[in-house]
Amino acid sequence: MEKIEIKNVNKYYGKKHALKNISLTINQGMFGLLGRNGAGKTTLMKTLAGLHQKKSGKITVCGIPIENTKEIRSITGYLPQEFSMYPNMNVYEALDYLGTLSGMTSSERKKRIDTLLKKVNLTEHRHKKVKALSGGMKRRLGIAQALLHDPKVLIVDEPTAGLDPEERIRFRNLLTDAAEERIVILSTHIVGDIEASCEDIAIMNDGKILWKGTVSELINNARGKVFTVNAPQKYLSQIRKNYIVTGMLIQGEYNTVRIISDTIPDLQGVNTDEPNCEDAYMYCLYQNGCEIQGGDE
Amino acid sequence: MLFFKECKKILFSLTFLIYIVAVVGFYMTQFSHDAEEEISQPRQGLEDYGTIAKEVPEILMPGAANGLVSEYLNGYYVAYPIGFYKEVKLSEKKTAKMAEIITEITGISKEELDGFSDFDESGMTMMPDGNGGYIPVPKEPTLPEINIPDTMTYERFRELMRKADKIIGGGSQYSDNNIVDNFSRVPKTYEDALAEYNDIFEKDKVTGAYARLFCDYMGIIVSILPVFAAAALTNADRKSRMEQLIYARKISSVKLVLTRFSALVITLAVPVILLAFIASFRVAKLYPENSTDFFAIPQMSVGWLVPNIMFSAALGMAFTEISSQLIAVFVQGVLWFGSIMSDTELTGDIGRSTLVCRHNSLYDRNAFMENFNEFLFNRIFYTVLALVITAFTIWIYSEKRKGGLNVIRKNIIGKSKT
Amino acid sequence: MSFAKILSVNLKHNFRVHFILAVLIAVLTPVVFSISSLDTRAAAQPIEMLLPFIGTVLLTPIFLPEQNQEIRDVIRSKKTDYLIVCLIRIIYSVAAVIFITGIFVLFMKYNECEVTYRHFVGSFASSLFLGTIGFSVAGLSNSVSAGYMATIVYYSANIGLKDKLGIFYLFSMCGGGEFSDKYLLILLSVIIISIVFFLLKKLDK
Repeated sequence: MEKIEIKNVNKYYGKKHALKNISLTINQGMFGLLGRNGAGKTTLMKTLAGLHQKKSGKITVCGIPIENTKEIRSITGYLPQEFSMYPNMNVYEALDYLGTLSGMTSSERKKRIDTLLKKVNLTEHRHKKVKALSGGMKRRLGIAQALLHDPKVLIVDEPTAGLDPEERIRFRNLLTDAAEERIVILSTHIVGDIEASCEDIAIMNDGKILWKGTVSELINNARGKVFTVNAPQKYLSQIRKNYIVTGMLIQGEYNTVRIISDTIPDLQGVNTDEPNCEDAYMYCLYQNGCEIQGGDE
Repeated sequence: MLFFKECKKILFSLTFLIYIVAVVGFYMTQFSHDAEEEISQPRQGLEDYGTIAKEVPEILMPGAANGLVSEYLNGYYVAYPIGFYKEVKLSEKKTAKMAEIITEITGISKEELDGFSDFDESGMTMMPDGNGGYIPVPKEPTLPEINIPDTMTYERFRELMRKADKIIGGGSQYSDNNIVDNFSRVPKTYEDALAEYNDIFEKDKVTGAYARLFCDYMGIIVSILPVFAAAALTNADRKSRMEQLIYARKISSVKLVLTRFSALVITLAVPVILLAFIASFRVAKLYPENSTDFFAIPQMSVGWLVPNIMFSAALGMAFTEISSQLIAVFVQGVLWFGSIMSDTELTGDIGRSTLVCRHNSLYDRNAFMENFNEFLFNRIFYTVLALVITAFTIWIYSEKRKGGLNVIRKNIIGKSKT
Repeated sequence: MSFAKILSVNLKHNFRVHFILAVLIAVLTPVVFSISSLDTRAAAQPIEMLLPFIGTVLLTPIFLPEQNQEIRDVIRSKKTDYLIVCLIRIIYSVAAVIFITGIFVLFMKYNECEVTYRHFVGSFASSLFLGTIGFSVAGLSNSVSAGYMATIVYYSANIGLKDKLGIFYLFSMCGGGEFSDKYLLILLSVIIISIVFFLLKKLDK
């Protein structure tokens, strides 16, 4: 089975140590890379796509060393965080040109472009200029170009950020279909994306891998650590100060607060609750000593 | 404060860095080099003290007559009607009129002129301009014998030359502005050279002479480079996709545009004025026994160079706001290039609309002072023009904030282009 | 790699405006400078002092389409090396310089100017070098504006420093300078472009 092996990879941006001793194995299917902004997800994705050079370590993609840039790029498809193309090209021209740059023949391009336009629902917009596309359409064009040359590996960097719920679901479905026959690496800071479609995940923070395993293992890890309590409005700031709050439901005078804690919180009316993926992610960060952001002082 | 924030943006930009490198580089390689040696007092008994334009009818009349006949036989007349070198070919009717003038001046009839067979097909060649450069001039041909009749008065001659200039379309060698300079140059005497030397020390306090030279060199660079800084600053909002964020803010368009314009002018002018002070120190050190005017070079820099900085910055902002950085640079480039190329004389040639004012000499004070009113008008003109363009930019910006002009811009340039 | 397809797409989308500007400069040159009956040295003036700006407008914006990082990432992620695409752009831009210069010199000859192949080579060398300056600064700084600026600074240095620039003096033919210096300019341009490509590869750009 095809896989990506990453062993002890380090990368620097000047003095900044962007990737710290990363080791991962990514198998066929959908792999989720979760982490905050600035965690190093994009740096890792770009390194896998052959856009950045690592300082040390070893990476093989389907058995090909990452140093063989040309070969790597012929088997990977990359969708960057912010996708854009030459504004005055139309959708078809953009795909045709990118297909050429991917080494496809004319007949291959013709066939694949029609198929993919249908898949991403852009057939009726094929003659529209890139500058006239909405954000969601642009992102769909992006995924089409990434899949155009039928790569073995698909690398998508935060593909659903900024999309409306309908577009987001459509995108997830596209990626899930794509993952049936290839390795799909999806980086995101939206936990919902991971929950909906990924089996294996890794959590990154500050250039390091904090945790790797399956979604169910991550959730299991947080079992018994998630609590809910109904608290009056006036105690909310105090609760936020002392505990990690992952959710709040305002219901009149009383609010249902969701808390993560290693021990049972010293609060009246506390109940244990089943952790969801978001809770588990926050617990993982907490467990690894990461400063939890958000909430009032 | 917004002004300091805008200054900071400019100071930390790549365009400003290149500007500083260019300004300092120009200072060190050009002015600094020319200012290494003292101006020395002319020595008596030399063969050559250079030449000076002096209106001497006995020299001017034969010279101009020769020039006119030569150009008639060549078939075209060299002119600089709008500052650019041009070869003017006359129609049959105008050629006949010109022949009449030549006949009156020289006694040679049109038939004799047209039948003159010894004239070589000449064309143009390059001659040194005395400043290290070259200018195109007609080659020396063989001419028929020219004898100006005794009855020709100087006043009548000048009147005929003005007529000839009018037929050519203005800007010819025979115009009132050019005729003395072109055809009536006499060797400077020792007394002339000494008087010029004394003027530098008495009237210019030495630093005045260096001030003109400093502004000459720096003017070349500050007449063009500010447009890049202005275009980059104006485009920064668009590039970072912050336009809409700023449009929606409380600040008035007047305040924002004026603050940016002032920040540009100040940040770009300060390095030049600092160099002016350094130049002053240098000159004062070179002439320790003479009283120098320490502030002459900085003062001259403000009056001479700041209008150029203002104009270039204003143009850069306006065109970038309307269209794109490329258009702004292209327009300023065309104006700058046109000015540089049409500066045929490197001293005493500053007109009312000359963009890049030149005075590439420590001498020739008289030539500058004779033209001083034109120079003053020129600098005020460009200052006012810069402010008018800035007012226009304010209006454009204000309209764009209301969503007016963006539609036009998008259709011409496209949404995503930077 | 479909060279023809890459060439045609870039010519259609990334070349037109710059080519039009270059043609405009060539058309403006006879308006600014008279170009009839000039002898060898006088004929060098228009083709050394204004025409070389066609090199600037054609070569400086080679990297402009991908100045936007987002577009560059997409293009660089493809099998065809991005620098190969840039090399194709350089080739057709240089061809355009040769074409426009050639037509212009022939036009001068038609107007009875004493022009030879040296004028063609000399003007091409100046255009290429001026364009190389802009291209290099634009490529290494990721700013086409900085590239244009560098060209103007270098051109201004030629006005001020004149033949003190030695082989880098663009207006050498006007002043009757050494023609062989022009061949050196062409060689230097090729070397500089190669160095820039090497550095861009090394810098992951």
